Amino acid sequence: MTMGLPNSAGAIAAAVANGDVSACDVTRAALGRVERDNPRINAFVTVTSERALREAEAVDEAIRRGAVPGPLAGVPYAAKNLFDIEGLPTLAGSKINRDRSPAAADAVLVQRLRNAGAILLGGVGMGEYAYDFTGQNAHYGAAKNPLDLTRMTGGSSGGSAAAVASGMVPIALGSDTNGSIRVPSAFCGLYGLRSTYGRLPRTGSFPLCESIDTVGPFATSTADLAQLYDVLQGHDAGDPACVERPAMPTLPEIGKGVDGLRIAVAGGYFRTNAQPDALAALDLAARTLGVSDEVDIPEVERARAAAYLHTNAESSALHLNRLRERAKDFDPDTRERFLAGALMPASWYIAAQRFRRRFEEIMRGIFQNCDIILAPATPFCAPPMDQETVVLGGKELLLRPNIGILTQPVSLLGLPIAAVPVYGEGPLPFGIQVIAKPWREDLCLRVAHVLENAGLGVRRG
Amino acid sequence: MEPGDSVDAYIDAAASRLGLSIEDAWKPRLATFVLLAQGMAKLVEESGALEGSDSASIFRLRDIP
Repeated sequence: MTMGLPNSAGAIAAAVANGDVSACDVTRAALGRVERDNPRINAFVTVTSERALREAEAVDEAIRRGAVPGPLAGVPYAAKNLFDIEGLPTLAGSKINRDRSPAAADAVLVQRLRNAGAILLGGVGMGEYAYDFTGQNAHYGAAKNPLDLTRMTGGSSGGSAAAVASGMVPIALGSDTNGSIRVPSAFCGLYGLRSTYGRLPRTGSFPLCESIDTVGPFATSTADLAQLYDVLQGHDAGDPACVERPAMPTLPEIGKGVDGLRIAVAGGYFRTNAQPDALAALDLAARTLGVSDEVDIPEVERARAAAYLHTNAESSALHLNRLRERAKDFDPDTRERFLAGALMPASWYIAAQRFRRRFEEIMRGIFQNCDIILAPATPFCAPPMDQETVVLGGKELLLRPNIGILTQPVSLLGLPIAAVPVYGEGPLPFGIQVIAKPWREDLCLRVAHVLENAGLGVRRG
Repeated sequence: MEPGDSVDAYIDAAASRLGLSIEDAWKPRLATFVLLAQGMAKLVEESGALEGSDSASIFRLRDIP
C-alpha cells in the first residue's frame, strides 16, 4: 500500500474519522495504485475516478460539519461488475451486456457501502455471467493472481480477489453461487464470506442462479471482513429471497474464541477429492483448533450434482433469449454450458429440487451434533493459467469443472461459509471452508479469527 | 436419452424446438456438457425416495392490499 497511509479498512476508517488523513487523500492514493498496478493485474474493467473523488469529498465535508463518520469512512473498495453502478451498464463479465442501458441506481449493497462512507473505485472483472471458477474471460482478459501472475485467480469473482490481494483496495464485493467467493479467496490468500442464502439482498445485481445466488465480501483480515459484512446486512424487499431477520453484528463477536463450539472436519468425499497438500492445510487448521472429530456427510456427491443441475437449468433459462439471438457473442467457455442447460429436460431439474430438501434433512441431522464443519475450499492451490486437467481420487479429470468440486455441494443449501487462507510449506495458500448452521455467520467468523490469530494465513519463510 | 442414443440427434431436435441455432463447431463441447448433466441427473435420481420432497420451490402468494 501507499507509504504513510494505513492499509486495512479498519485503520483507514479510524484515521479518516480521527482527522489523521482525509478521505480525498486516501482515495487519490488508491486511484494512483489502480493506475500503477491494474495494467499488470487486470482486475478493474471500469475505474470510476470522478465518482470516487466526489464520494470522498462528501465524507470529508460530513466530518468537517461534525457528523459521525460511517464505519467505513474513506475506505476504497471495488465491486464485481455484476453489481449495478448508477450510470454504467452492468456488464456481468459479458460483451452482450455492453448494450444494456446504464443502471438507473446503485445496487443496494453499493448504496449501503456509500452510506457507511466507503468509496467505490470501480467495477472489477469476472467470469462471464458468473458461470466460472477460473477468473478468465474471453472479452476482458483474465484477472492475474497477485501471488503469482502465471496462475489463476479463481472465479467467478476473480477481479474482486485480485483487486484486494494486490493491495489496490482493502475490501471488495463479490458473489458466490457455487464457490465464486470461496474459490478466489483460496487461490489469492484472502478471507471471504458466503452468507446464508437470503441474508444479504441481491437487489440490483445480475443473477446467475437465483435459487442459489448470494452476494458477499472479500477482505485481508477477519476484522475487515466482519465490519464489511455488518454494513451490508439488512432486509430489502427488492430481493424476494431476502429474509426479514434482524441484523446480527459479527464484529463484536469475532474475538470470542472457539471454546464450547463443536467443530468437526469433513471426511469422505472432501478427502477423496482433495490433493495431499490441500489436506495438510486442512489438518493444520484442525490441529490449531484442537479438533479431532471427523464427519462423513452422506450423499454429498449428489448434492454437488444437484447444485450443478440447478445452476445449469436456471442460468440457461435466464439467458435463453440471448442464446437465441446472440450466441456467437458469448464467451466460448460459457456458451456451450448454457446451451446444454437450455436443452435439459425439466425432470432432471425437478429431481435436483427434490433432492435439495432431502439434503437439508441430512445436514439438519449433522448439525444436531456439531456447530462448525471444516472442509477444504479447493482441491489444490491456484493452478497455472493454461492447466487443463488434474488428478483427483486417482483419476485424471478436466480441471475447470472440478475447481469447485468442494464448494459446490455446500452451496446447495445456502449455509453460511467463511473462506480462510492457510499456508502450508509452499509459496501459495490453500483455502479452508468454515461451514455453520443457517444464519450463524458469527460462528464462521469466530473460527476464522482464531485461525488468523494463529498465523495460518501468513506465508512461512 | 438412453445409452446408445445419438446425443447429436437429441441436441438437433431440442435446439430446433427451442429456436436455438447451434454451429457444428460447438457441438462436441455441447455434447460433452449434455452428457455431463445427464450423469449428474442420473446420480441424483438414483438417490430414490424423492417423491415426498418438494417438487419445486415453494410459491407463496403475497398479500394484495
